[in-house]
Amino acid sequence: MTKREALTLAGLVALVCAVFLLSLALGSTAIPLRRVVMALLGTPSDGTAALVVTTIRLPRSVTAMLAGASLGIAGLQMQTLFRNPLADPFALGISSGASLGVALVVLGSGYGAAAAFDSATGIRGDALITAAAIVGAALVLGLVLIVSSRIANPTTVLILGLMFGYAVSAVVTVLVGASQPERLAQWAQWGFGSFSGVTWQRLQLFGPLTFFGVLIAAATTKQLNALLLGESYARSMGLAVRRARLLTMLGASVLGAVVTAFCGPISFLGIAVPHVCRGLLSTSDHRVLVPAVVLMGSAGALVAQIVSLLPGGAGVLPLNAVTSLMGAPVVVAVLLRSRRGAFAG
Amino acid sequence: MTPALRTRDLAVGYHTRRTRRAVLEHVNLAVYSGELVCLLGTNGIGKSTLLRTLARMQPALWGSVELGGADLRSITQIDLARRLGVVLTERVAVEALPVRRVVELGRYPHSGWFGRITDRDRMAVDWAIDAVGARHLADRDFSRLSDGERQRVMIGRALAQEPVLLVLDEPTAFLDLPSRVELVGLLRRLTRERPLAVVVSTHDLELALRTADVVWLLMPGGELVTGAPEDVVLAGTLAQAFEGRQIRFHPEERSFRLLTGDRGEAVVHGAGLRATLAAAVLEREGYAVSNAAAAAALAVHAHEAGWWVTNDDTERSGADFASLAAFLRGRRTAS
Amino acid sequence: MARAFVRVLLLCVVATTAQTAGGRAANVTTGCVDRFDPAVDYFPDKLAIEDAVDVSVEYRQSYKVVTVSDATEGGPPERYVLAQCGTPAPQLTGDLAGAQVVTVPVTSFFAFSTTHLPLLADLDRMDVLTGVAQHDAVMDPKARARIKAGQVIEFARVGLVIDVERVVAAKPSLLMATGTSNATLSVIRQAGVPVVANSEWREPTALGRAEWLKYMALFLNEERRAQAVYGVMKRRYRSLSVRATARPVAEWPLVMTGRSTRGLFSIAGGRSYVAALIRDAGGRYVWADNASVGFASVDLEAQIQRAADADIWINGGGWKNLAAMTVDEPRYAAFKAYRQGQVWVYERRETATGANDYWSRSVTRPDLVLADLVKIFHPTLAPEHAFEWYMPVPAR
Repeated sequence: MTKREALTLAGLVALVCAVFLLSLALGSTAIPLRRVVMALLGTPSDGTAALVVTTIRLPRSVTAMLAGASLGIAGLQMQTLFRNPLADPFALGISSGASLGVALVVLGSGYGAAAAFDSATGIRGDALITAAAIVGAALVLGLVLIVSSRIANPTTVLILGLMFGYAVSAVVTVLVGASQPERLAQWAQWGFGSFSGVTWQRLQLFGPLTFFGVLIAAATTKQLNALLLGESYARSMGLAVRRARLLTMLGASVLGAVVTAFCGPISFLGIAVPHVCRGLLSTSDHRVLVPAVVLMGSAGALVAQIVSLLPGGAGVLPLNAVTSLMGAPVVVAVLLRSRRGAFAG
Repeated sequence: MTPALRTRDLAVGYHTRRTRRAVLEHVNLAVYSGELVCLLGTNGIGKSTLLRTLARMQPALWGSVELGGADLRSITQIDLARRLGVVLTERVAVEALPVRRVVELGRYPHSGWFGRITDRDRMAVDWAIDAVGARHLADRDFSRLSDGERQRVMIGRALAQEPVLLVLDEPTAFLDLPSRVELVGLLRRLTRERPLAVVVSTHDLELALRTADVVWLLMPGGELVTGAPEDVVLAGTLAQAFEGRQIRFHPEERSFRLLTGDRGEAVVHGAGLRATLAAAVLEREGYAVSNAAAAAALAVHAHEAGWWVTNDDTERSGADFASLAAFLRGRRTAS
Repeated sequence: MARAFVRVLLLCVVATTAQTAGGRAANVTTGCVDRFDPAVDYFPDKLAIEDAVDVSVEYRQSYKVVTVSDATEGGPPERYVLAQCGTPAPQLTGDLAGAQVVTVPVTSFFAFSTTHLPLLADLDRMDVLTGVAQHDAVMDPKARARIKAGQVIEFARVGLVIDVERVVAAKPSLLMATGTSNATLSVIRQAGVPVVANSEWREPTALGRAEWLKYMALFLNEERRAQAVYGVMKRRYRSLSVRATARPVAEWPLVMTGRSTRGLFSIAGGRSYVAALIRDAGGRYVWADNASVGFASVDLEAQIQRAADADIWINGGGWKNLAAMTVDEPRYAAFKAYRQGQVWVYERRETATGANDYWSRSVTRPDLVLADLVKIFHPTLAPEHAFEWYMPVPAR
């Protein structure tokens, strides 16, 4: 690693720390910094400040970091694997599959099934929505993987994922059209995406899933580097290409599915973060890019979280909208700066 | 001595939905360390198929391939990569990677988890970069190199794998002439300086004949002829493989000439380079040049100051070959 | 003897003349008038709007001009001309030009929202109902009886999307919708079916909402009955409210509303009818300064800061019991009202399939809603009242 790269990574670490602390100090209500620090240190105090900081802001920020890191690294994996600058963690229909699961539970016909499920298993409300999202995403992912196992060309797999995604989205649209307006509000709220819904309890599941998911993804760094030269060369250098491709697709998609299930659909982080890191570090070497996207993803998610609270007491900006509004101009800026075009291949 | 590569009754080809179609059968080859083998043959005859099968990039139909004595089917992908390096025709597009990093990728079968590079790896990379003469390119962006430089770096990357055999599939296809010659020269040097065997397929026939230790010639019809280039030339198989209606192989020069002759015979008087060049001009204008001249043959005299021709009643002369050519062309329109 | 007979005859003549010459005894609630006299006031029973702010009426002998504001989202008020059947169509000029004309009393009525049905029920005029959006959503027993007898069609079965052809083919004399901004409604209007808006749900007070009973009465010429029903209900409401608000302020509980989904708390706005009800029941609403007339979303953090010490929590819902609440959202434990088990929801009458007549009946019976709330906020004030809709969320 060159000195410049090491310095940049160190800078990213500092950025993440700073934004993390900022996200704890800011919220929809004003809490003096002194009280925030007291709450973090665990010193007893009266009033609700400590409660707000420890049960609302802290888990939300931790969730944001985990989600951002997951989406960043999953996006990088997909872009390298498919040699496509527009690939993201949801390229294999993950987002549509999760939406289908949630739509079935929240809207229309599934509503009765959800009630029955609840009385049978006691899983209801948010936990049910999360489970439904995972099941939906897994189904679509499984379908895409089975069909594409016969296909050698990665671009074809990408297109397959896209087509499955469209088909599933169409089903979701039909469900939306046939549903009662009251339920639509709940459905729409899920669609906005949110880090606030993951409490400490749910972090007990979300945390390990994403943490180990990111570690496992990081372990594919060597394989991703080999794939930079194309599949033929990668194979000749010793990479078991088909297996690596399958495991990478699976790993990235699972990360995307987990984040979507717990936080709703979060767009754009998965696409933008790898591009920003590539532009910032001027390298394609994954040994440098992987830690970079993890850090940049965390920071990006935290910033999006902070921005979404801008309206203050008047409400909350949908997280999804903020990530898109932030991400799009940044990617454009990076591409224009590099001048040479988007991407290899 | 165990050959670096050996095939036993190998058949290569491809699988269609129902059957297997063999492009080559009963292939028995051996390559020894230190040999440069050139694979020759017309387009579409199966060169790539053979090479890809040897490098295990596609499965053999039947028969076996042994790499350093070990059957290809029994080695893992990683082990294979430690013994066999491959360079392909395709142009690789990688952004934002310096040459050193590209060569480092060749340490894949040796490096640790996460792609960690040890000192041993660094040494191998440095050695590979030097071996291909790319030291001055080491820190430059790979995507900014010329095609020739890029292929050299790709060879360096393959060398970083520390293989015993290098297989190259038409590596010079997109290169200009000087680069091509340099590249083949590099391969030649590699086999001479270290225990490496190289198998390269190429269309540069004349270059191959000059530099290869062994030539594998794929004949139309699926027959594979092997041997030293001179033996193959002598046996006339080369002519057979490549001759067409308009070209002919000249064994003495070990090169091909276009056939244009239909204007009769000619004889050249003179010696040295000038005589040879005069003959070349005559051939281009469609004359068959031979030593045994019939009486009616056109006679061209080449000497220090130029040329002169007598024929029937005309006598012409000139100082350079352009005027000779013009004269010959004029004769054509006249008659 | 003959003089007595002549007196009686004279009396009859005078009586008849009085009837036909400018003096009608009551509004015509069924059928049309057969003869038109421009001097006659065809609506001797008039009503006055006291509490509702989004509707007003003006009587003009043979037609009424009804003005509804908030018929379309942020749009200008809509005016409807309700012309007595049997009288000639009034000349509509000025700001009445192009106004929707409805012939009253209506004979067939299509209700888009189930909240319109209690209005018919309280006027005892369910007989005019001939169409509802969805059969399954109807809970009123009289309406259900008519549906069962095949007298009521459904015209928006799938996803509450109006089937235009069905409506136009049935040609009802009136279709009432919750707002008129829907494009389909203009198509229906152009096909000759009168469409009017009912924006009771935008009223800032519960009494105002209930007064829309009178709005329905205008189309049926049932002003007399409407005034009576509303008057009785309002007196009940007022007397209870006066008693509740007479309690010393120190006894007024702090009240919070709503439920949280994924860190976002949806609450009743500070200027909504829920806030007005809370105030009238002698409670202090934590978000009384909020400007929203409907519902609002606040960040969980803001809700905790405001309502952590609230005594009573109303109008959440969908919870099996208190323990289940914190499974979904453990941060509910931050609210004192939760910890003390003072979480009240209006699910007492909710059926197994999730249907709840709170949504329809509570609109015209705010006095009952108020009674429920007073019983929660000041238990000693209404010992004889039995909870109509509200119940505490059980501990387990």
